[in-house]
Amino acid sequence: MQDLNRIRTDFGAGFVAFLWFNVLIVAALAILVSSSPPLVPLVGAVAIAAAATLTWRADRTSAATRIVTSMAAAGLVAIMVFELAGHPYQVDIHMYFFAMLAVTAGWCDWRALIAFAGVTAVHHLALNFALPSAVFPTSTPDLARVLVHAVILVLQTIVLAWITTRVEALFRSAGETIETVARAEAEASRLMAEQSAAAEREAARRAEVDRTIAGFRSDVDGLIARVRDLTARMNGETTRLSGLSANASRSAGAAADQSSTASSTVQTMAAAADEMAASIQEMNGHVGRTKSVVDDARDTVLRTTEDVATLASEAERIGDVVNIIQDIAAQTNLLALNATIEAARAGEMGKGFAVVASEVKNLANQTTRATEDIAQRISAIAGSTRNAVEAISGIATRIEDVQRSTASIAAAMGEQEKATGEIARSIGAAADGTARVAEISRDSTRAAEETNRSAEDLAAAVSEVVDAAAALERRIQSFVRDVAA
Amino acid sequence: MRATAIVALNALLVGTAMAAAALVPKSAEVAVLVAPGSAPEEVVSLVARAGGRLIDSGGRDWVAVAAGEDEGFVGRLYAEGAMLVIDPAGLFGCISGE
Repeated sequence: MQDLNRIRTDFGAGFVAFLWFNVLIVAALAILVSSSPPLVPLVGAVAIAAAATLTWRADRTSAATRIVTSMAAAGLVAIMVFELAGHPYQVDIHMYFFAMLAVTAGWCDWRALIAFAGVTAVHHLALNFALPSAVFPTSTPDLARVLVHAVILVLQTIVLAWITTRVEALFRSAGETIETVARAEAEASRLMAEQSAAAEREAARRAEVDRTIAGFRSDVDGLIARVRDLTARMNGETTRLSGLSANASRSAGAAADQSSTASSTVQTMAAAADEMAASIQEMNGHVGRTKSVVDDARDTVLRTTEDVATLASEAERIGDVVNIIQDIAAQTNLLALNATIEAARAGEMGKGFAVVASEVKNLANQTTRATEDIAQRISAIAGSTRNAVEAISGIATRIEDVQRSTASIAAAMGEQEKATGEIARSIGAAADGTARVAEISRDSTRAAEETNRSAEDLAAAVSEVVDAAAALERRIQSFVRDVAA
Repeated sequence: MRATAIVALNALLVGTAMAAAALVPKSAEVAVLVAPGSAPEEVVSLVARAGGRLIDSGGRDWVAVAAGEDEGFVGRLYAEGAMLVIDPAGLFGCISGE
């Protein structure tokens, strides 16, 4: 591609110069030959060449430059044909189209050829009908002639396009080969540079690795010493932990024993409380029965008091009767005394009567004496009755005391029963508590045993760590020796 | 896009230059065009004022084919108010189909 570009650059410069040479030809024809005013074609030719030159200066070899300069060449030849309108050489200047097309092939671009052919075709076809005299030296359209020129133009364009395409392809492949070689060379030199850079980097890295190894060795030594120290401390800690867990296990076992003892004690207490409640019940029953007996006694005393009162009143009435009898006996004695006096006055005849009167008097005296005895006995009865009443009232008082005491006992028994219930409930709660304490103690024992096992495992692990640390140290030292060697 | 615009502009320029070269009067006979729709006497009197003579009517009221005797005829036609003075071959090309 470099070569093709060089060729196009060279050709472009020459071609633009050649365009301006054609402008000179247009000017010469305008002055020497043309029948028309010279200014218009000359200005057109200069404008075409100037525009093409500007395009070329913007980019020396671009496709636009190739196409534009080719169109400009065709336009300049067309202007020459217009200038020779009516001149005998007008037909001959047509050959210049074909020559100029061949020159355009110098761009090595089929598009430039097509652009040139396009402008030529437009010129011929459009102006053949619009301005026949501008193209050919006749005043009427000559399509056959246009066709002949067109066939030649097309044929030449095709052949030139084929050649330029082949040339372009050849240049392209050659350029690609050269570029490939250049790239390969650049790649090779780059690889060389990379290799030397890599060698330098490798040396630097080696030094860095040595430094790192030295640092690593001292770090590892420090770390391993630290691991040893730590594992020794861990060993001590695990031993202490084992001892602590054994202690905890023992303490928990003792607590379990104590709590089971407490539990049995509490159960005994519960049984005692139950028994106590039962005897309180029994006592309650006794108190109840005592109360009913006391009540009965009280009733009996009341009835006895009434009986004694009745007895006293009956005794008083007996006294009244005795008084009546004593009055009767006194009157009878008086009557007997009067009858004796009367019998004495009657003498002999009253003698028998006097005997009966003395008998009556004797009986009256005996009655008086008997009633006095009764009176004495009754007063004795009254005295006994009074004593009995006093005794009974004393009994009644005692019974009331007993009654009050019994009520107090019953109330106290009720209180005691409630207290016993409370005691029983408290003992139940205490039993639950001791049961829970026993359970917790068992759990604690298990936990302590597990702790003990864990401590043993930990001790084993620590000793493994110690071994591993020693192995690691040996391995690292041999590694460091190997690496440093 | 820019390349296409450059090519199109250049093609327009080449076409314009070719058309101008084709239509420029090449002999003493020229086609004179005034404003389309003008009265017939407009173009006739214009040619007369420029000192030319009529050769053909031109087919339209605002067109005439005229001939002048000297070099300054075309310039005088423009000075008298002609819109366009071209080669009569172009005139036929343009409007011969009418």
